[in-house]
Amino acid sequence: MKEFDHLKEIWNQQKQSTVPDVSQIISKAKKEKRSMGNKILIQVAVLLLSVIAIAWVVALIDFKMATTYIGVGLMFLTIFSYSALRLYQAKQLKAIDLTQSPQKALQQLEQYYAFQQFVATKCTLAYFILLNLGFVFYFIEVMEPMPVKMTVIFLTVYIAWMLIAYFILGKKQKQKEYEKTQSIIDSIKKIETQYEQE
Amino acid sequence: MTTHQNQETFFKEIYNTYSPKVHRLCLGYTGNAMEADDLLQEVFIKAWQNLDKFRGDSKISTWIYRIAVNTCLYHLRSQKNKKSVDIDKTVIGKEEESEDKEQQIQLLYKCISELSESDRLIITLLLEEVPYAEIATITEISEGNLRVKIHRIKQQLSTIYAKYERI
Repeated sequence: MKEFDHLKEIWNQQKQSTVPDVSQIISKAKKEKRSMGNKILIQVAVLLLSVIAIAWVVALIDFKMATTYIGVGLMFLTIFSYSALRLYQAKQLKAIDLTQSPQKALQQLEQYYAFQQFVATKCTLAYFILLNLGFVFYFIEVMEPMPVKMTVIFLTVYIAWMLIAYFILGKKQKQKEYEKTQSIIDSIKKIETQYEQE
Repeated sequence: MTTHQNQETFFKEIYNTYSPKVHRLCLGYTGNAMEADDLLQEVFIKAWQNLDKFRGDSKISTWIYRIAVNTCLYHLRSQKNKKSVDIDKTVIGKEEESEDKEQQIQLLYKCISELSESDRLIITLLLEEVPYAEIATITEISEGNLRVKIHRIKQQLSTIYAKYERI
């Protein structure tokens, strides 16, 4: 068996590492901080814009039926909640503290990915269903003056697209997201176990 | 000098002192120069972003190594399939291929890559001559447990190395 000292000698034979200039690192760090801040700002802007757009539609058109308001309200709530959730996630990722012990950092990371999995699968499904339900309520009044033939065509295309989006695209995407986050969670758990042993 | 300038000067000092050591830690962990370069940048970007959290309660080396260890572990979540180091691919050029020294180093990287993630970091810190007490603080493993762990890792690594050397 090779003695460890011999391995240490080999290790010390490594060439001196060439590292980038410190100014490069500082400028990259500052840029990253700005881009993270911008990402959050964009998300907040999208959130506010969606609220303004929906409020504008409601104020502009004189809707007669209560179902329309229910539909618009549902759309607003869905978009607002989902965007808020994404915003919370961005903040949660930013809050992972890599200066603490590996065990605690891993725990935080695991929690983040467990939540990411919940959002990417269950919340996204709820978002899809609620948003479409909102549209259904909204269409009741909007489509009322349309000829029956037109209504049938529109509804057929709409429902068909929604079914394709859910059963073909959505399910595949959901499965992919689930597997991706699960493999990350599994590898984090594996490393956590390594720290628990001995 | 403003606080911002002080912060930059302090960071430059840390970088100049520890970047080669951290780079070798990353290299030992990944066994791949390009990945180690990326990790090194990530480590120091995190260090810069968290500089205000350093209160001087621990040694600066402990603080920076802890960020390095966490960044390596954080990085591996998406790299787990690239864990194994291919000796042929890591040797850079034909000239170097002939060098016995370079081959031994590459072989050592390969052997380290066969250890578990946490063991890889511990042994690399040890190879970098970080004292036991400091490794214990970085990894938050009690010193007693760490000694047992290190003894086992040393044996494991030597066995793996000997196995490859015979091939």
